[in-house]
Amino acid sequence: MATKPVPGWCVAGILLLLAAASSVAQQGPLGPKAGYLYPAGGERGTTVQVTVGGDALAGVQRALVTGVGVTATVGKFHRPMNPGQANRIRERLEEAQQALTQKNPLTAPRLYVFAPAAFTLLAREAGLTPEEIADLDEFRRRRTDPKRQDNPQIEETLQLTLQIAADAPPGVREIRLAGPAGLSAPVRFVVGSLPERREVEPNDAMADTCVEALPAVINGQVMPGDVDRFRFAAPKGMRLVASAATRSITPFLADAVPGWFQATLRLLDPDGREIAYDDTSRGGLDPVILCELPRDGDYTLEIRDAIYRGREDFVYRISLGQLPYVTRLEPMGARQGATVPVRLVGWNLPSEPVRVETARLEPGIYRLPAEGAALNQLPFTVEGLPTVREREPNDTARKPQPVSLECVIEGRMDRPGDIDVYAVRAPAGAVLVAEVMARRLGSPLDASLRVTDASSAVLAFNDDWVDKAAGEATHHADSRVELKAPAGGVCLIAVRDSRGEGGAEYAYRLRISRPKPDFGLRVTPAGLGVRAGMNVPFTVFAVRKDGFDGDITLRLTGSLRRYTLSGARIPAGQEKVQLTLGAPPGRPGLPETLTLEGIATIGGLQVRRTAVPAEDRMQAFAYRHLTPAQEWLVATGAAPATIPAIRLAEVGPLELRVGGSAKVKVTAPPWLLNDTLKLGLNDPPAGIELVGAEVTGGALLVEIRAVAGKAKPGDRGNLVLEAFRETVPVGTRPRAATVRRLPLGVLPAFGYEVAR
Amino acid sequence: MDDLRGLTRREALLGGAATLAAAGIAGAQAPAAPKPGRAKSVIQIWVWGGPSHLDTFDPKPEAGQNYCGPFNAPIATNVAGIRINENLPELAKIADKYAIIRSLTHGNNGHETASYITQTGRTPGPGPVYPGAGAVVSLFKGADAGYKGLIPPYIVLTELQGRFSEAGFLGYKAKPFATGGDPAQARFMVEGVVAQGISEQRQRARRDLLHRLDTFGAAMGGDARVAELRRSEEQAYDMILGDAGKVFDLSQEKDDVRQAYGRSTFGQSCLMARRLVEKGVPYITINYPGWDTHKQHFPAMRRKLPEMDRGMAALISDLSQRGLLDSTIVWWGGEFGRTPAVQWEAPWDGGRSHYGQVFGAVLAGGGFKGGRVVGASDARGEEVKERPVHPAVVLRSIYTQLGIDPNAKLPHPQGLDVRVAPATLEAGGPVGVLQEIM
Repeated sequence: MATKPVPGWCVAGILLLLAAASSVAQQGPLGPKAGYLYPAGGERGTTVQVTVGGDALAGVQRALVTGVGVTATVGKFHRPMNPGQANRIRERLEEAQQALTQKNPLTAPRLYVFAPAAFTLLAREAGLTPEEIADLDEFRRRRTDPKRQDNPQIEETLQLTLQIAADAPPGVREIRLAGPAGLSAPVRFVVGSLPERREVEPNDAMADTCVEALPAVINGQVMPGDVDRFRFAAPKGMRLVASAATRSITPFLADAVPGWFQATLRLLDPDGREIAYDDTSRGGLDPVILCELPRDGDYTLEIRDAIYRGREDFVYRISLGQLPYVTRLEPMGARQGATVPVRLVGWNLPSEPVRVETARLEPGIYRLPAEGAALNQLPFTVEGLPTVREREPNDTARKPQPVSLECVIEGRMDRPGDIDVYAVRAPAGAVLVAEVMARRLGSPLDASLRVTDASSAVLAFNDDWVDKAAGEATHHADSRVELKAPAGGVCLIAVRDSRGEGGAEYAYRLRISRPKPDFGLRVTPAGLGVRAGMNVPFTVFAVRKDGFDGDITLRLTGSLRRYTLSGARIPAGQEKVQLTLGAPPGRPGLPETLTLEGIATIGGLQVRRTAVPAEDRMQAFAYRHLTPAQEWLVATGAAPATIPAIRLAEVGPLELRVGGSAKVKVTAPPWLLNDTLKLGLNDPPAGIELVGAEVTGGALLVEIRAVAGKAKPGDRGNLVLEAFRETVPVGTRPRAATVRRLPLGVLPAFGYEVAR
Repeated sequence: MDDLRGLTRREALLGGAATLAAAGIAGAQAPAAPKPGRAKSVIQIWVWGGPSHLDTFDPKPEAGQNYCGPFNAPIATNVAGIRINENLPELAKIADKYAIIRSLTHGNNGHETASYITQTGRTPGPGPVYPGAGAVVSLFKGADAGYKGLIPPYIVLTELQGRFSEAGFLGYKAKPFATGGDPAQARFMVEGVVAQGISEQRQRARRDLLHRLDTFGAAMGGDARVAELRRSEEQAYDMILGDAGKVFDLSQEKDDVRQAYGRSTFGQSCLMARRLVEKGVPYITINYPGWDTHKQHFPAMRRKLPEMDRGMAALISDLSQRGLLDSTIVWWGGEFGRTPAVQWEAPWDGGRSHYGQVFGAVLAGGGFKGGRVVGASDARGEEVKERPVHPAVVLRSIYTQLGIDPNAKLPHPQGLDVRVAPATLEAGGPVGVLQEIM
C-alpha cells in the first residue's frame, strides 16, 4: 500500500475523532457483558436489588427489561482490586510504617504482623478510605481462597434496582445493559407470584431456615464445593414440589464442562434420611422433586452441583411448596383449526382439561398452560396434518398399525421395550418423511426410527437428528428419516426408545408425510450497537426444513424501515449469511426493537417467516447453540463528529474462481487513502481471504481470494469489509507490538460467488 | 485409581526401582536387543495444556491481529530464515541447536486423547492401553540395559499429569517417580527423600527403632526374600541419607548457574533435569503447567514465554557446554496447539482454545540436527501445508536415536503382540522417522 507522511498533529487529532466515532461501530469486545443476575427473579409488587456480574460494566447507563411492568435503575458499579492496585496500597502502607517508625520506633505497628489493630493504625496513617480497605480485604479473600479461580468475565458487578409492578405479567424477562459501547447479551430474570427468599450462608452443614412458610421461592448461588441446605416445616400428605431453575436461567457456560450448572436436588425427612432425589428432570434441563410427604416435621432440601463445581454464575431459584407442576400434556399437539381439550397431567393441577383453540394459530410450537397457571409450561405443537392416535397392539411388523400418508400419530412407548410399528403406503419412488417430536415436546423418550419394506429390508434408520431450531438442546434425542418409498409402496415405520425405556410419560408425535419444505430464521446477536449513520454486521441463520434449498430474501418489517440492510439475501443452499445493518443519521434515541422477515418462494407460493432473535452461545469450550431471545434490539449511539467517507465504489456480487482472486474498489478521503488506511474481512466465510490492497487511481483496490482446497465452487454469500488504521500510542516506543488498531467503521455487506 | 498414581516412595525405593524390568512384567518376553544409539537420555518438556504454535515457534504476523494478537514482531534467530516469538530471545540465540517441527497433526482437541496420542503414538481404543515414551524408555534403558542408579529410571518433575496413564499396560512398576515439591524453593522437598522438619539424625533414629521392632526380620534373617527386602531398604536409605539423594540438592549448584536457569519452578526443574541426566537417569519429564490458556491468553504468554525461554535455553546451552547434548534429547511439546484465530469475545477475552489440526514441537540434542525446520503450516497456522507429521513419527525418531528398535516387542501381560511404536498410520502408510533431522 502506498503511504505518504501526514503531519503528526493532524493525524493525532483526526485519530482521536475517529477513535471516538468508531468505538461503538458494532457490538464487540468493548460492549458490556452480563454473565449472571442474582437474584434471578422477584415477586410481583416488590422492589428487588439485583447484582449483575459481568465485564466492561463501568459505562453502563441503563438496563433494558423486556415485557411490561418491570423497570430498572442502574446503581453502584464495583470492580475488584487488581494485583497492581493492591501493590500500590501495600507500598502506601509500607511508607506509613516507615513514617510511624521514624516517629517512634518502639510503638510503630508492623505491617507484616497479623494484628488488626496494627493494620488499622497503618491504614489511617496511609490515608486509606473505607472503600479501599474493603477492596483490599476482598482482594485478600479472593487470593487466599484455594477453591477460587479467576473469572474476569464475571468479576465486575453492577447493582440494579428492579421495580416489579403488582400487575406485571409473570414469566421470564430478559435484561440487557446498555452503555456507550453497545448492548450486552440478555440475561434472564423471572417475575413470580410467590414470596422470595435468599439463602444465608453458611448453610452447608447447618440448614438455612430462611423459608419460614410455604410456598416460597429460594434464591441462591453455588460456589466451589458448596452445598446449600434449607430446612422447612411441612405437614404429612403435602404433595410437595421442589423445582429448581438453573439451566432455564443460565442455559450455557462457555468455560465449564458440563457447560451448565448441573444441579442436583435431595430431600431429607425429619430424621435426615433421603426420601427423594433428582438430578435431571425428564431428560430435560432442571431437576424437580415431586414427593408426597410421609409425616409432619422439618424437612431439609439440598442443592449442589453434581460434581461440586460452583461460582457466582451458578445461580438457582427453587420453587417450593404444594405447587402446580405439569409433567405432560395429553395430547401434545393438534391439527391447525381444531379445538381440543388438553389434559394437564402432573401435581396439584386442576382435573378439568384446558381447551385449546388452534384456529388462529400458525403451525409451530406453543406453550401450555398459560403463563402463571403452573410452575412450568410444556411445548404444544400445532400442525397442518390430521392427528391419528396410536392403537395397540402394534408391536411387530406382522401387526403394524396402518396409517395414511399425511398424518401425525400421537403415540406412546407404553412400557419398557415397547415398539410401535406403523404401515404406510406410498407410491413407489415417492419421497416421504417420518419425524418424531418427543424430546422437543418435553417427553423423556429418546426415539429411534427404523423403516423397512415388506421383506424386512432396512430402508432408513435414525437415532438422533439435530434440529438447529432447538437452540438449547444438548441431546437431540428425536429422530427423522427421509426416504423413497420402495416398489410395492409399503413402508413399515418402527418407533422405539433407544434405551428400551417406556411408561406413561414416553409420548411422541410422529409425522409421516411427503416433504413439507419450509424454513426458519435465527438472527444473531440479539442486540446490536451502532453509531448513527454507520453500519454494524450481524448474522442470519437459515433453518432449512424438508429439503427447502432456495433463496431467502431478508427485509426489515414494522415502523423502523429507516434502517437499511445490505446483503439481505441468503443464497440458495447456504445456511447462514453475514449482512450489515445501516443506522439512519441523526440523533439517537432509546434502543429500538427490530423485526427481520425472510421471504422465499416454495411450491410457487410466497412464504414469509419472522426471524427469531438469538445469541450464538458456546458451552463446554466447544459446542455452540443459537439460544432464542425475546427481542432483537438495536441501540444507536450518537453520530461521530466526523464520519470518514469510506465507500464501496462498486457494490455488486464479486465473482471468484477457486484459487483465483478479484478486486473490490474502495474510495476514501485522500489523506486517509495515502496514509495508513487498512481493510480487513469481518468473519470471512471459509476459504475466502483478503490478500492485500493497493492505492490506484485515487481508490483502494482490495484483492480477495478464494483459497484452493478451502473454497468450493458454488459457495455464495456476503463479505463484510471493516476499515481501520494502525497507530502507535503517543509516548510509546514504536515497536510493532505496541501498534494499536483504530476501527474506522464497517462497510455495507456485498455478495460474492465462487464460480462452478 | 491405582493406574493414575505414580510410584510412591515405598514403591520406588523400598520396592527397588532397579528391579523394574524383572519384577514388573513377570513372564513377559525380554525386550529386543537395542541397537546402539547416540542418545542416552531424554528430557521431555511437557508443555501441559497445549502451547500456542503461533505464539512460540511458528509465528504468523502476516495473518493479522485476529491471529497473532499483539505478538506481531517475531525475532530472527541465529539461523537464517528461522524466526520465533519475540518473547523467546534466548532460544533465538541457539536455534542452531534445535529443530522445529511445524507440521505436527493428529486432529484431536481433547486433552486426554491428545495427550495419549502424542505420548504413545496411538489413538485410544478398545485395545491395550499403551505406555508412554517415558515408560518405554525406562523399560529399555533401565536395569536390563545396565542402568545401576538408585534413582528410578523415569522421573517426573514435579507432578504427574493425572489425565494420562504413563505406564499403560506395563503396569505400576513402569510408572514414573514424581518428585513432588518445588525445586525453586529453598529446599527441594522430594517426596520420600527429603522430609520437611525431619533431620538426618531423627531419620536414623527412626530406622534404628524400626529395626529393633522388626523381630520377624531378625528371626528370618537367612531368608532370601527378607535379604532382598533388606537390600532394597539399604538402597532406599542411601537415597535419603547417602549420596544418591544429593542429586536433588540444588544448593550444590553455583548461584549464577541457578540464576541462569531462572529461579522459577520451571527454570529450576530444567536444572534438576540436567543433574539427573548427569546421574544417568534415562527419562525425565518436566510437566510444565499453565498453558491451557482459554482466557486472556496473551497476558499469560507474557508471563510464561520469558520463563520458558530462560529455562529451556539455559538447559540446552548447559547440556551443550557440558558435552551432554549429543547424548541427551530435549523434547519440547504439548498435546496440541491452540486455535490460530484469537477468541476476542467473552468469556475468553483474547483466548485460544485447543487445536490438534496443526501444532508444533522442538527436538534438540541426542543426534537430532539443529537449525532445521520440519514441515510447515499454512499462512494462518490452521492447516498443515507441507510434510504432515503424526506424533508417532516423533516417537519413532526418538526411539531410534536412543537405539531402541521401534518395532521391538513390548512385554504385554497377556502376551499380545505389541510393538514399541506403530509402524503404520491409522490413515494408512508407514509411520517413518524424521529423516531430515537425523
